[in-house]
Amino acid sequence: MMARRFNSREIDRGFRKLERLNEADPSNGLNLRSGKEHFGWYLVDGNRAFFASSKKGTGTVGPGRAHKLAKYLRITLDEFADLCDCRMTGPQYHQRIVEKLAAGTLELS
Amino acid sequence: MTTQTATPKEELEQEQPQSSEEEQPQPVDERLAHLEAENRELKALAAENNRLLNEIRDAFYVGVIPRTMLIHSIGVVGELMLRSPISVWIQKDDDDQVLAEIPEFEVVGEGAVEPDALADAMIFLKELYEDLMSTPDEQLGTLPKKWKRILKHLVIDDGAKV
Repeated sequence: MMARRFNSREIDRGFRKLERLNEADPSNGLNLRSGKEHFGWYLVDGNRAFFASSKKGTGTVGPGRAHKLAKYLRITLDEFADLCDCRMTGPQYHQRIVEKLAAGTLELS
Repeated sequence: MTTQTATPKEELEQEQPQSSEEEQPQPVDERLAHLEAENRELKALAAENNRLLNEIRDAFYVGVIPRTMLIHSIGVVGELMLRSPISVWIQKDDDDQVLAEIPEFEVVGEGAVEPDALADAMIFLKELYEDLMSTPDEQLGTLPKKWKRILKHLVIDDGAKV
């Protein structure tokens, strides 16, 4: 995938999808705390699996930062782009994480 | 009138300086012209050198040299001291932003300049620390539990701020 610049709105959209998961089911999804930054824990079956953080605001997010966001959300940059666009929904992301955990391809230790 | 009445000797005296003046300026002019030509050449060389130097600088200069730094505190500088330093990976993003990553705790700070990115990462790490400390172990997954154990050991905290 070519180096892509995301704008903050796209990143917000991706985070919001994961946050909505948590609103529907408090034991799963991204539990973001209110503040000037996105900072929250991704919950899997009530346990804090990993955390994600990103600055809110305007402007673009460079490829390096986007790569790190994807890496710490445990998905590829392509999948991250899908999440930020409309090709991957929150439940699809969660399903992918659960599958990776079940298959042992995602180790959270 | 006086010129017409001048003797041949006077005429010679008058001519001699004239002839010597005519001979001397010629080499000086030549030398001057030569020096000016040399000067032009040197200026051209200097311009070429500058151009090459800029090309080299553009090719190798990245503004921020990717490297590892050590931090000795988290939060605002000196807020919470560490027993042993934590390494931070400094690198430059493509959009001129600087990233400061603490891979051990999956923390990434960013800023327009290196100190901003570093400060950002240190504040994020402190937030993570506070969050972990205020969360019971039962609610933490394997990885956050490990972070909590490490940070608990690393951070010198009298308990007043957390």
